[in-house]
Amino acid sequence: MEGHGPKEPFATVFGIDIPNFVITMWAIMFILVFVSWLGTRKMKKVPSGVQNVVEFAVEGIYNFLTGMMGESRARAYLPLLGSFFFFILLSNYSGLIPGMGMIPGMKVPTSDLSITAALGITTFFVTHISGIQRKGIKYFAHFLTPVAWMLPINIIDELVRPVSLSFRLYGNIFGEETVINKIAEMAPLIAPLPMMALALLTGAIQAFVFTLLSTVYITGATEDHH
Amino acid sequence: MKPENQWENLKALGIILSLGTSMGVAVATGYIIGRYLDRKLQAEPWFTVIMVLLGVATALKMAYQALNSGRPKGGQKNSNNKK
Repeated sequence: MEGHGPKEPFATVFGIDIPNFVITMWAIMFILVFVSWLGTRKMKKVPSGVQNVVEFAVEGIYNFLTGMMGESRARAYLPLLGSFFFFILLSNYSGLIPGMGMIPGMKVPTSDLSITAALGITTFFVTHISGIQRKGIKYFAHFLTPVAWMLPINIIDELVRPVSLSFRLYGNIFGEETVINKIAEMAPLIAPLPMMALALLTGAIQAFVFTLLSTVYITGATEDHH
Repeated sequence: MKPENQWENLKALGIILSLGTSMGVAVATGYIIGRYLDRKLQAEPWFTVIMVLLGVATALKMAYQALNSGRPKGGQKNSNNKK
């Protein structure tokens, strides 16, 4: 799809193209792993420094998940949903780095459909596998609620979830990045700033919406009674 | 505001924020599945029509669920609405 950012792949390894957004994604993954390592390296009873920041962030997500799905499930799904949130947040905010979308190897990962589709498909499989693990074959009974003839509508509803999750995130970030890049091409330095300020807001909202909807879907699939 | 209400409100906000895309994608998914089935089974335009209608029904179901997500559970009525 025609858009902003470098068009040529960053490199080709054994005949496989490595696109620019993959390089940025690896950098974001490295940052997340490195900060997690720094925060848990020398854990203290009274946290300070990086441990303090990491604990604050993880506790925030944990409290949110506990409020939504209860303590036991919050503990079980915190690693997945917390990673989703911080990965999407950092990916969205990476668009604010000067030169992003112009320098080879730098492109916002969530402005590419393949990344957001991977996240959406992961949510889809985790939702259904968790549901089957918790309820067994009875899990499929929810497709026949509230009445049996709703089956085709319920199936379309389930299929729509990963598609809408991935298109919502991709569309918002791709659109925002394209606008910032076009404004920067016409009038660099000051002109894109208002749009970038808006990007700070939409980046956080989209990361939150994706995590929230994934939580709602997983909670719905693993709930014991409706 | 009680903490549980805060999470319920946040959940409702997220669902409402995402409703627009979900409704659009529901109709589009119905159309794409219908067109695929029509081509596969050479039954134009029946599957497309049926699946688009099912997509619209799914979108309406989503809107109904989104409207319900903001309401208190267990049939409790908001005391402010009684007056």
